[in-house]
Amino acid sequence: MRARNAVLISIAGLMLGASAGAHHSPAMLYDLGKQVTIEGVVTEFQMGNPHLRIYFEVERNGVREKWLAEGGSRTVLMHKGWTGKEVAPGDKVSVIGNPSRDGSKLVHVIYLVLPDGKRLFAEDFDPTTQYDELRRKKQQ
Amino acid sequence: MSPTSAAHGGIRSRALLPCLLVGAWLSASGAASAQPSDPVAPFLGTWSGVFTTQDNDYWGAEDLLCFPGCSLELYRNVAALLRDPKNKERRFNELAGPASQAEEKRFAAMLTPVGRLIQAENSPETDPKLHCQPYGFVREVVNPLPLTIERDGKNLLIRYEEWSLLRTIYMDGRPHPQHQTPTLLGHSVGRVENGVLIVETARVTPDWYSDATHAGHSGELKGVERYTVRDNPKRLEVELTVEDPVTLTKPYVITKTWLFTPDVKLLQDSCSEFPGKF
Repeated sequence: MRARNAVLISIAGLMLGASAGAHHSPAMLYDLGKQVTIEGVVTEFQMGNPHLRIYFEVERNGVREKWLAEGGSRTVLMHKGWTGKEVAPGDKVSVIGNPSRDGSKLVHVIYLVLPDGKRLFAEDFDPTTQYDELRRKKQQ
Repeated sequence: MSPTSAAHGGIRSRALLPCLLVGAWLSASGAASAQPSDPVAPFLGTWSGVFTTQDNDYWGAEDLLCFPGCSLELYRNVAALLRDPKNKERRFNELAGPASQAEEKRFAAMLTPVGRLIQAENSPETDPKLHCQPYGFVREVVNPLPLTIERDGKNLLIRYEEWSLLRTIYMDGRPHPQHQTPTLLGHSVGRVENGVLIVETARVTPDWYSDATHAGHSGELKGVERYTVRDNPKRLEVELTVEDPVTLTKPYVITKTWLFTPDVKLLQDSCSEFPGKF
């Protein structure tokens, strides 16, 4: 946990000076122009305010990396039917979303693929498409 | 014209070109409603930001970007970039990403050494909300969830869905008390001038973790909120000017808009009903 704190504090220092705070706009922290899929094993799942958070471990070249995925907010996800029991520690999941701008092990989760293959929309909105959709709508 | 009205004005003014009457333009462009006999009445009701009303046609991409409130400068810059015909084929992120980074630099240059220190210590792990500690003043005033403004005798009461917090705005002309113990949302006094609800706040407790400023604020903060109600659609706009000699070298202005949503009932916020640490 301490190692993760150290990593995240250094991330915060680098990440545009942003706080990674509650309800922050994802464009400030994440590269919304890119999408990645990362597979790992859940170590902790927090369905709370400000955001859904999934701590998970990813094994790469024999090394276990600690990752954090941030998703939508509790209130909005509740309206969409989330309960907070979607995953548990030990579950193997895939996280589909936007990578951090600075390359740190932080991902903005848009879709969460559960162990049974079920795919859940995990954000309040989809920053990969929704900004541009809104823009197109206004241009018409 | 307010910042958010200006951002939406390009589209609206084109639609109104056939209308040559200045009065009609003023009305349809969202100018502040005429001062009613009860100046507080226009502000009453439930208001929802873009976060919970995403399907409303009013919102532009710049509003979605700024759903937790954002600096006036960033809002204006992004809105201008999106409207610029030269950028028609460019993706939103190509425009908003560099604009956000420029805003971060601009804001960093406004921080005092203490402000910089606080900002550097912030991280997802240090967010007080993880420990069920409610937001401080700035973060709560521009939070993304709905709010209700209602009367409380001569005064106003603002109910925030976020944290289910309650805030009294004293409208009876009293000054800030000299010896009041600071509180989360401080002591607020308000008045309506020319259709603008002006709320001045002092005596807040420090909040070292803020979204809108990406830093935090001290107990020395003084906030001035200027709320305006506009039409087509009916909406509430705020410009929050923050002064804090401990963290900022100059005033910082944050903006946010809510739509009038009389059908929305505020949800009870909770920080304990889900598994985990909350």
